[in-house]
Amino acid sequence: MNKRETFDISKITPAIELADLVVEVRDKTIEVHNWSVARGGSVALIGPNGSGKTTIIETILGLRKAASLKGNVLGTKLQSWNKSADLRRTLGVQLQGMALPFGLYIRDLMKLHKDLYGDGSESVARGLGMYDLAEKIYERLSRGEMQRVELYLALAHSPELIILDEPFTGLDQQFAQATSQLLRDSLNRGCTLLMACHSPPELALANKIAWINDGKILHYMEPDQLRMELLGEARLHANFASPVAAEKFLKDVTATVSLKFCRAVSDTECVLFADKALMDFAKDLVENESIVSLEVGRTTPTDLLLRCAQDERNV
Amino acid sequence: MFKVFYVLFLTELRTILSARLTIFWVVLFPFFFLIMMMASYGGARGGAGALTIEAVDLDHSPESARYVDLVKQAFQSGDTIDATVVTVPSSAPVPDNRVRFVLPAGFGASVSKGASAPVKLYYNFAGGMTQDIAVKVFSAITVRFNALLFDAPMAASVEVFNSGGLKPVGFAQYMLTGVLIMSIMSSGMSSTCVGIAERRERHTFKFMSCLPMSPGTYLIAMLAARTVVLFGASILLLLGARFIFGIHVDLSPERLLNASIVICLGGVTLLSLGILMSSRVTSVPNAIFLSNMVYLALLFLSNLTMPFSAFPDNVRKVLSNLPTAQFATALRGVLIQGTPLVSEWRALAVLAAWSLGFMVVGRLAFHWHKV
Repeated sequence: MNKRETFDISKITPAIELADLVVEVRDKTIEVHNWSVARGGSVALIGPNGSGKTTIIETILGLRKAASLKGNVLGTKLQSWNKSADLRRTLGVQLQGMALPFGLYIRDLMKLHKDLYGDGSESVARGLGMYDLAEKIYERLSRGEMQRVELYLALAHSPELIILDEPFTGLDQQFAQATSQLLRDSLNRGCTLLMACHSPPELALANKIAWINDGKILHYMEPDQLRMELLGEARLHANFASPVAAEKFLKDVTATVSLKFCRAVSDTECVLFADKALMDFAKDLVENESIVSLEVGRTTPTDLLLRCAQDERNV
Repeated sequence: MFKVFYVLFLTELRTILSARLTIFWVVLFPFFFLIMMMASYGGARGGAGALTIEAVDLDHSPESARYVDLVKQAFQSGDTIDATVVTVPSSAPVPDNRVRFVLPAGFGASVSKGASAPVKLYYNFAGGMTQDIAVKVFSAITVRFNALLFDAPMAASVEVFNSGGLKPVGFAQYMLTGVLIMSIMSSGMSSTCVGIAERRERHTFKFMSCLPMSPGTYLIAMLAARTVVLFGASILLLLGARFIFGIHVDLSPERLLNASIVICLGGVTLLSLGILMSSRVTSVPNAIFLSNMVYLALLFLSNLTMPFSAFPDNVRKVLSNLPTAQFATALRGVLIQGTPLVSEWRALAVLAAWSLGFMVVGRLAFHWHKV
């Protein structure tokens, strides 16, 4: 008898699939249409403060009421998936402004987590230094220590889908690196990661970026692709002797090079982004006495974050 | 599911017991409140308060001695007023919190001839209810004294019948059960409502809502943990009332078991009401306002502080079905009057119905997040 060929539908359906998400937040409307996060993918939501990153995350989690909500998470309809305790077992969440129950020791929280999930990863506990915090009370921890506890609770049960809101906030270098490694391990294991991010180490974990501005996803692509799209390959940072010199320079450069983006630091300092032609243009500037300092290089993820943190309406 | 319930129950218990302020309000405050009520209204025996009555006999006649004896007899039971009668010299000033009666010289000679001989009463007219009542009792004592003096036949008499068939509830017992229910109202109903609103406001529910559990399991675990704490605090209050304040409460195992069942059911009812009130409240100030409104309404309309006799019949019938009124009825019945638990079936059934209603509506209305 021939063995019937089967396939696991969970491997081909996206981890998160938003056909329609509309949320009214005060004077703003957050809208996402036909957007998905592939299984095993790592997606960073970036954008200026108040652009809607946290709102999108919280709406997916069922923490906000949506005017319209259609889609699936891990193959289950959005409206019903967060009502199922079993499905939530496959989820790891860390949110901004979240407070854990008062008066509990960290060991109590670790025990609560282990009892609820039946799993408490040793490597996550060690990586985040949880045993050093075990005898402390949650509300007496520093911001960074609280973040470590919240990350532990999000990651320790090896979830299938991890949703994080600025996971590196408050972490020192040691724990930021440890968190990066833990998230990479999770991704290698096949889990899906969706995070709102504001820092280059967070962005470095993403294989796709959704740039959110004014409540909408303006771009959704790979980090390098987005960097090239928004900034180009070259970056030029110049300081000028006077505002007049700066203005003249900008006229010259725009006549020669098609700029992707220009950020004025002050009236005598600016950063320009464009394709390789900007580097060629820069070669001729060495002798220009009105330029006090000049720095030319390739665009970086930090540039991308800075670019995407700009409110598009003000660019 | 039971494991999740058990884990959440223990976590909630830890959270409650780790908060010193909660322990103060749940365990110690009812004691302070009881002390205050006992001090204000007459200690463990008193009906309408405690009082010292000063006797000044300037006559030293058999008649004046007889009058003093009658006064002592009248206040001996302590049912109306927990009064102590003491003899003092006439020159001492009358303290504000005492009543003094003076039998003037010649009192005996006058009354034995049938001539008028006033007994003079001195007290602070603004001294309060206890003194006012004591002074009214003196009128009755004097009528009785005159009747005895002239051997008047007691043709008319008063016979008293217990139309309710239940043992009387003394003032201290009334206050004890009232304080117990009030403490469950404040540390159960109000603190649950405010506590849930606070967790919602502090975004603790963001965390809770992402855990693998249902809101129903969470709420029942919260309710169970709080019931255990309230039950423990109630038993401590009863023991304190009996052994520290000397309030007469029969704490035999059977009565204590019956009272425990009533306390747990009443506690569950009030906690469920707290959960229902908090189901949609989005901020702590709103929760405090709402719980204070409900608390005050129940406080005055449930036979806890204001007796039902103060209300018209039809209003009383409606009010008697309030959960706190039924709680008070059942608790006073099994704890003070010694009625069997089954005799309180109506009160228990009403409490169970309220609990179920509050729980079902509370669960349906409950939201982790602001709606």
